[in-house]
Amino acid sequence: MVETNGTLIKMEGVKKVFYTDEVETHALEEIHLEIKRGQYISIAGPSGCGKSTLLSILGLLDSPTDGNYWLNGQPVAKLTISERTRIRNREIGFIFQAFNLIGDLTVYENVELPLTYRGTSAAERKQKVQQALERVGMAHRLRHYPSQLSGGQQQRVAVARALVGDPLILMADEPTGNLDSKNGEAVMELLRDLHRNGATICMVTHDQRYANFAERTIHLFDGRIVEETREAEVGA
Amino acid sequence: MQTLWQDLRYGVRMLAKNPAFTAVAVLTLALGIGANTAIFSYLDAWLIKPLPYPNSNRLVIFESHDKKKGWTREYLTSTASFLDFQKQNNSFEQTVGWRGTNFNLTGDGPPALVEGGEVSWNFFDTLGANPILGRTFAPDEDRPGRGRVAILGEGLWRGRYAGEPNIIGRNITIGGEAYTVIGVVPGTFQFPLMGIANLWTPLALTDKERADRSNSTFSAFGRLKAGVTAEQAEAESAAIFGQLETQFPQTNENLTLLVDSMTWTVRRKEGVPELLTCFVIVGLVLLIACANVANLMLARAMGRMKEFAVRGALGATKRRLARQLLTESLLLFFFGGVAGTFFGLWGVRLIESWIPGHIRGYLVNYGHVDLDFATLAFTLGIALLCGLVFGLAPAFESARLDVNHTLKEASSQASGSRRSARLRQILVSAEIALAVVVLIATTLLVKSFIISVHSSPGYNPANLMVAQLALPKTKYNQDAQLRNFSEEVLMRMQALPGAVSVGAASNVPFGGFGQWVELQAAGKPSPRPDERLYAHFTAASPQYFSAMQIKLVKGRLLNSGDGLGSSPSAMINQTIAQQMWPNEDPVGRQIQFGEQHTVCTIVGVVNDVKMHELRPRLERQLYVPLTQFPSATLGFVVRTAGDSTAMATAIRDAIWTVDRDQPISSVEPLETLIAVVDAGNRVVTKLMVFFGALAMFLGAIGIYGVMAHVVSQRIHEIGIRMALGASPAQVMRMVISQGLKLASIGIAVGVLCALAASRGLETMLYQVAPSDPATFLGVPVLFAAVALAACYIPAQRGMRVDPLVALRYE
Repeated sequence: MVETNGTLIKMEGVKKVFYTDEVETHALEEIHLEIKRGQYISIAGPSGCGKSTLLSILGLLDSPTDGNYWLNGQPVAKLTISERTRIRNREIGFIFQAFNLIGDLTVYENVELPLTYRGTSAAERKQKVQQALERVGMAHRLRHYPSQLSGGQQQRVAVARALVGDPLILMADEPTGNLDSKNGEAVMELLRDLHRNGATICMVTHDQRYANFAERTIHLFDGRIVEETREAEVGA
Repeated sequence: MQTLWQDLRYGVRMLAKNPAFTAVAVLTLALGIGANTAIFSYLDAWLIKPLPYPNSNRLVIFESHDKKKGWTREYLTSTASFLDFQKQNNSFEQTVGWRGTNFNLTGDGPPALVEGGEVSWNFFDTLGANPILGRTFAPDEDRPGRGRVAILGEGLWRGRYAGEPNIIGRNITIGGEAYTVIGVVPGTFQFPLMGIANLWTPLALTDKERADRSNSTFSAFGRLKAGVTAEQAEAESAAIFGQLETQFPQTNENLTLLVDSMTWTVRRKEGVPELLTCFVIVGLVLLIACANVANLMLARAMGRMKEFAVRGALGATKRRLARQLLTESLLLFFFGGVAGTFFGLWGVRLIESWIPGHIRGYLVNYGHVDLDFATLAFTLGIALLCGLVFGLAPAFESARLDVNHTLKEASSQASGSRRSARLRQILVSAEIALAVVVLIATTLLVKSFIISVHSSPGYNPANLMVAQLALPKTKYNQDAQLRNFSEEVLMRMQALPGAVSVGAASNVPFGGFGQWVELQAAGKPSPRPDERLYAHFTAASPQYFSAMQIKLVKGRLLNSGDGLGSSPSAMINQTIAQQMWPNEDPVGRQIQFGEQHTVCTIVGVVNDVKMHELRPRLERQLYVPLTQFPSATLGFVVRTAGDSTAMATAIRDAIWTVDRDQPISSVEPLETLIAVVDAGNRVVTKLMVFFGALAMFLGAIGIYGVMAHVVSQRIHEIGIRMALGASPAQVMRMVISQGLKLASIGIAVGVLCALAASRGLETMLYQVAPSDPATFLGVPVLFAAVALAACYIPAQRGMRVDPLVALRYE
């Protein structure tokens, strides 16, 4: 057990090695990271530096080869698949670059999905979905299908889906990667608003403009944290 | 032409590139097409091809018909009436009388019972048969005392007489009398209404028989004059029989003679209704197989949309793309047809091996069927037709391709993919519906057969040996001789070690002999011709009933007291009791039967027994003492404590100890006789089980194929769901519920269709309602379980989806 006062995420010496045939690829090396509640952190770096791998481990989509990881004070590095699934569902909200909305489900059904897996009652689901969509300004498109929305609107729905379960942290993987600059700006504004209202956000981006929206930026290179900048430094 | 060649080459390459897909599709089609080929071969041989006689469309059989009661039967009204008709009619080139007979053949080897017939002199000429040796009968040889001549079948000539070239003019001994062989007809000659036949003698009617206006002991057929229709012949017959009715009202009231196509009569006996049912069922199985392959092709086409988009971008027209897919489809179905031909050939041989020997004689070409040009043309035609029809769906989808959109979007997100998925879901639901119809139909037929096999025959056939024989009239022409023979044989059989009880009767259930007599309560006026009652007649020894374990219902069994010196006694079955003396006690009443109007006192009533078929039907059965009514045809029954088959040799010896020259037609367990008689139904039942299982198997493959494809298409979606917290169990439930939803729609539609279709099976069902609740509940439950199992493997794959891989993280 680690100190939970203010610390939401703590990583010590996390490594990730991929084995392909006889080739070992060291995607992450000696990652030490701490994220406080309410922080907005961005992970930046060139393509292939390990950003998304780090986010996958942070989001419990993957497990580290070595090292320790505590989420909200609980060690989560060596959990079983079902335990990881449960924590992911309750404590992490995902926003993907490709939105990853399910084409055959309506906006309402897409946002409702995490609550369905959690076993939330229909009445509560309805209320929470409505609130989440109102927060992202998409409450008027409940019955639309993703294909009927613009890219920016789809990403707002994806954000609503990430928010609906009141997660401890939002994990955003290149949330503007599939958007034009206008819609990209809008989504970044939305994330900033959420942060201002207390959300903890961890975002992967290779775009320095968007990395600057965060209060902390971790720079990765060849799987290692090579630099960390804070809002004040960025602004300087 | 050049582009077609290109399409063909590319099609072959694509099929070779995906050997698993090609193998599954070709195998599926081969099963469906092969089943159709096999059944069509029989349909072609039995239903489409004409009978193997010259101008067989002019051959008709005669049937008696009661205008008032409406019944039509395959025997003549009376011999005298038929002879009158024969003289007076102008419609027929030839009319021929015939009756099937078992001949006792002695000399030239062990005594043998040979199947054959007594026939009018013009029998062979009318059927266009040419002898390979000698001649056929001359016009005057079917007169009594003139016709001590015989014609041999090639099989008998080559077998018993070792193909002796000088057989013509030789004397052979039939029933103890010498007959001169005048001809040998080829083995290919066959008269299916007579069954297996190898020996023919003239039908020599006595003057008494010729004058008989009450009965007839033979059947008849005729050849219409060229240009005369069956309707014209029937109109002439009606006029002649109208005159006979006026002349002989006592015997001919309401009776007339109808003509019926010989071809259709043979076909009815061959089991054409059952064959047509099989053909419908295999047709449905083929549709299921085609839907399966169409599904596979559709999935494959969807996976190739990018390829088609690129082709489109490079200038291929939509028509060209559609044609390419259609060519591939036709190629696939062609290969399926080729493989199906081999399956069909194997199926034909398998079915032929199931046909028991004793019924082969009633089948055209003795049940042997070859895969000829017509069958091959049918197979190829059906393969290409299905290829065209079921290849249209993927071709149509490719024609609707939006090149720009498909090049930009992931194929799984393309609207065409969703449309294709819907089409595939419709196909699989339809396929399941068809499979349910097939399974319900086959289950009803199989259940009916099982019930008929297991329903009590009215006696205990287990551990019971039956020896059948016919004593020659020349040697046993006195009642005392007949009586002595049966009593001596019974005495010897009773002494056999292992024999628990022994009996004898003039005929036994499912045996080769039978006799029917007219019946009426004694002292009552003679019934009108259309009100006559007939009963199956059996002269039995007192121990016959205990040996057979036939139950006494009322009164007493025949016993040794019912002998020569006592008044004639009889026993009747429950059907006679209920029909002639409803709500009265028949015991002690007198019954009159037969041409001699013999009167007997009824001493007891026994339960009904199955005599000729396993499906019980109301049949009047009359029993008289064998001592009082000795019989030349005999069936000895020997009940043993254990396995009765070991007694066969001892039983033969017991008979031959009494008469060493007496041919024995068979010594077999009664269970074997029953099984042989019911073999035709067994063949149909085996086919039904096979086709039902095949339909279910193909249906299961269909669900599996669709669900496997659905899962592969939804890997990304499942990845999203798992990233959002869906547990593996939730993913499994999702996949299975989707599969079960498709199955449920198919099952529901199938049940409704089966409810409508099963009415057509009503006449083939015994003690099973066309809407049998157990079948209509059991089959859907079974299919749901199969669907569940078929969904399980794709669902497991869905469970194992790694969200990270599915979402394509680095």
